[in-house]
Amino acid sequence: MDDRKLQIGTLYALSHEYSDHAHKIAGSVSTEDEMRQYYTLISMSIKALQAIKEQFQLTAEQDVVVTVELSDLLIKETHNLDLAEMYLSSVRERLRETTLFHEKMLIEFFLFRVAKARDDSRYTREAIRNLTNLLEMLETTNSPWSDVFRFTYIQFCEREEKPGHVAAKYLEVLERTKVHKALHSFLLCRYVCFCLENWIEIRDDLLTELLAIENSEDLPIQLILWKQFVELLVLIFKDENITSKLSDFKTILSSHKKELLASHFELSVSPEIIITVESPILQYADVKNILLFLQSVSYLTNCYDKRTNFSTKFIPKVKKTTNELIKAPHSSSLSDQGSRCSFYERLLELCAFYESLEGLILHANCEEQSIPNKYKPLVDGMKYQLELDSQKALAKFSEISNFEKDPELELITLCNVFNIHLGTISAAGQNVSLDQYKIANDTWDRIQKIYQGYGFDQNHIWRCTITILWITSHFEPFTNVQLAKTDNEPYMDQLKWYYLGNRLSGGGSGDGNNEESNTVIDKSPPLKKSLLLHFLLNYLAGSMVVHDLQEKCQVSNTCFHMGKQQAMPLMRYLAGIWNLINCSLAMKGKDVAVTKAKLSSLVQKLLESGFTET
Amino acid sequence: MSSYPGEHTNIPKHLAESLQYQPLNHLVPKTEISALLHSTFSWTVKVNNDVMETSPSLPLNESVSFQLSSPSNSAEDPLKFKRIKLQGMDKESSSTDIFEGLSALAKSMLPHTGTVNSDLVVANAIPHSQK
Repeated sequence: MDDRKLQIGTLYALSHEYSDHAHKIAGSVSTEDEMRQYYTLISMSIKALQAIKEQFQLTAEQDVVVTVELSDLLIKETHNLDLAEMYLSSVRERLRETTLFHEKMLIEFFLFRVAKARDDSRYTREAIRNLTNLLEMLETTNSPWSDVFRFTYIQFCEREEKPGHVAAKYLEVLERTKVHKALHSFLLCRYVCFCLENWIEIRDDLLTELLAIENSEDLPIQLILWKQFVELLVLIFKDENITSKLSDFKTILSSHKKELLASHFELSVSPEIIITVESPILQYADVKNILLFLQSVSYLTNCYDKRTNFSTKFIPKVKKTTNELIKAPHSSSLSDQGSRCSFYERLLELCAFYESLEGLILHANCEEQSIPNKYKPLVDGMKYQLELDSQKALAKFSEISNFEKDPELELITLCNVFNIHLGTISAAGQNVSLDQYKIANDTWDRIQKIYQGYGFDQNHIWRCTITILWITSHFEPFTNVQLAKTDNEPYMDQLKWYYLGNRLSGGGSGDGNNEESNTVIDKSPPLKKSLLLHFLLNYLAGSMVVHDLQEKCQVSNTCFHMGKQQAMPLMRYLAGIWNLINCSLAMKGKDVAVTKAKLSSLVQKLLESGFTET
Repeated sequence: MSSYPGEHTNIPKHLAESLQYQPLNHLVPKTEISALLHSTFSWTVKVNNDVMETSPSLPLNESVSFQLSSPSNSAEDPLKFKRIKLQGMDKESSSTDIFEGLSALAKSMLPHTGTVNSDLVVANAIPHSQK
């Protein structure tokens, strides 16, 4: 038994030495023994602080410092949250008779950290109640601590309450925290992110405020970078062009490489109250990796085009870099190492998922890879569709049940499900059963409900898709059995609007060139390139909205060629038949002959892949 | 039109019937991306430990005994450490000395009885009922 006489300063320094050393070597822990040695060090660090508390007469301020450090270790490294809470509560008692306001707030803050670590609904709700009371109490003091606790409050709400309520609370918190610019900016970023992932419309003025934050303002570069990421995410979620945003990144990265060696930054709420924020994505190497990843997602639907198939080129690179980053040395607690690891693993899973989508787009097939669980039924269902097995596809799609959590996934699934039901009733024709008809109708109602209940109509790809689905299911050339129309449906106008903005000029690839540049025509902005969408848009519009035969021939011819650039033989077939009709009417004998020949070989291929002669 | 390729096959001639076999692959899910990036942030309030530099209430030479192996509360309430799943955790043993780099004092205080017990490194939190 060691029985040394040590001074308080030595003991305190010893505690830090043990935990600092442990955190330094945490990255290389790879055996059971090493893990035990790591925790031995942590145990020593904790015990040193406990000994200081037990055996020295500390001032209240010293007690606060030691207890907070002790609790922090307990929270980070152990499951002994009750012990941490006990230490903090007893210091709170000690402070009650004092006027040490800052210290009292610090203790409250760390008590909330314990509550957060418990990760349990009951504690979260209790924390929300306590925070509401605390904020009320602080109203009269005008203390900057209010804003710290507002931040804490909104974090707890995110865990427990419905997204709509949380968004409303964000608005309140943002309004109140305007005084503290850095914290406010950070909260603004969080608000926008929160809205994006819950498909809630971002309030216009707040988005404008985000965009207006200048790079030159007195904010940490990591915060500026995060703001840029959030803006990039907004563009990606809206399926808009990201080119100019990418050059913003280039500028920042080239001039601030040195500062980006640290992945944390500080937000000063007051000279006394400093918040440190950390994220693995803010380090230089990670920033570049995430950028490549986001570009891949944005360009994913372009993967058929050799000039812009960035996703095909970049995703393997992202996977490689991510695997390297997992192994990169990083000084932090073992549990933080674990969190970082699990972040990189999730990133890898997403890469695998996007590669699967690429495969389905290009080759109508993809390899088995480890993708996020929630997307597995989607990929499997899509595969079954391509294999002509509608029943199995429906079974898979019905597995996607956690709907409130991801309206985007639900909407995508429902659209595919709708197509299957529509195809079924169209094929049944006159023999369609009432049940089948009702199922198709009900599915459309569900689609409408989600589409209108969230911010999807801010995204042109979605608006155009919904328009296409409606037209397909309500008009005769496209379906044998139509769903009932009501008056004042805006879809025909929408179709025309999107067509005018995106029509395929002769032989081109949908760059939206408009010959009538002198007249102002009401047309949509160009849609992001995605072959299937542009095909469907032009196919439908060419049939319903275009009356000039020459133009019809151009569109059908182009659609027929498009059908070859990625795996969509059935679409190509439809375009071919349509082209035959148009070219026959237009007396274009050569085109008719060429199209007929190509169609014949297409039919052969289709017969080999599951279709039969009747 | 007299006849056309595929007329006497079951290849769909209506868009509705073709679309059932064509997943809408232009709809690329993005929700997880925002959630993933958003979730990487952690934050805390910095604690100023200047007060530890001075000990006005204690004479400078005051010191107390520090018995590291003494079970202040270890019998009833041992520390339970978090078991973290890390990459490459299947190696049997390694040659690195974890304690290399510690000061002489720190090294000398390490328990002679060896390292923390394996059963004190657990995956799950202590259930609430236990105190």
